[in-house]
Amino acid sequence: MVQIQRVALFPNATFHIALQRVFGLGRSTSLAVAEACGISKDLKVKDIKDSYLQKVSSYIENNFTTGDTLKRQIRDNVLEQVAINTRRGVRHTLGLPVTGAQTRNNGVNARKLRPLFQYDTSRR
Amino acid sequence: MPRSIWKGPYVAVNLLQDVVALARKHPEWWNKGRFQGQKAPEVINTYSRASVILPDFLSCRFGIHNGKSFVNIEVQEAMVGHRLGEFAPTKGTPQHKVKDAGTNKKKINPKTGKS
Repeated sequence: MVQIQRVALFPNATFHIALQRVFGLGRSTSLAVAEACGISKDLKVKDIKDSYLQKVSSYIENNFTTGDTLKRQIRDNVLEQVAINTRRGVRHTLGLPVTGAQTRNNGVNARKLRPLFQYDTSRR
Repeated sequence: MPRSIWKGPYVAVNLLQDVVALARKHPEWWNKGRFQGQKAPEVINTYSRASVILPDFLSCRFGIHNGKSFVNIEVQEAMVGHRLGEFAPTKGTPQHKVKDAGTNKKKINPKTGKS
């Protein structure tokens, strides 16, 4: 099983799509990583040699924040707003929408996600 | 789109004048006492919620208008760069009526007038 940044990638999946399982890499960044390490867009994960995988790991480590470090950063940003007592911080603690959405209807997701301060919905 | 950076941060002119007047009136607090933890000698009341908090405003006390009254704030380091209005909420929190299930109301039959 191939592991990048402690995330196991599916062996039969296209590489730059399978790479998106890493927290912090999405559609465009994953493609950029694959291009920079010389991996073609139509290769599957099981067809890639180990040296290329090593290159990918080191490229991600040097240029992107991912995984638990990113979650800690997000959490610290939120806690900073709460500590200063801005309106954004209050909305986070109350579990209400932060960016100005109306609360007359909707706002369900904000209330659901309040206990998950790290805002990572992949583990619930 | 936020304000262009080449224009510099927005601070209302009357707010700046009040701060400068305070600095002139209490020069040792402004130059030294601020950084040693002394509290500001006066509160500056302002209606300008849109003004950015500058690094020069550290440990000043402002009363920020929220439509009805002035909310007191002491500027800390982490607050620099935010606007004054973020720290003065403009709405009260709603207190919904709690229905008590405890009181038993006797049901009176409307036709006979008896319970």
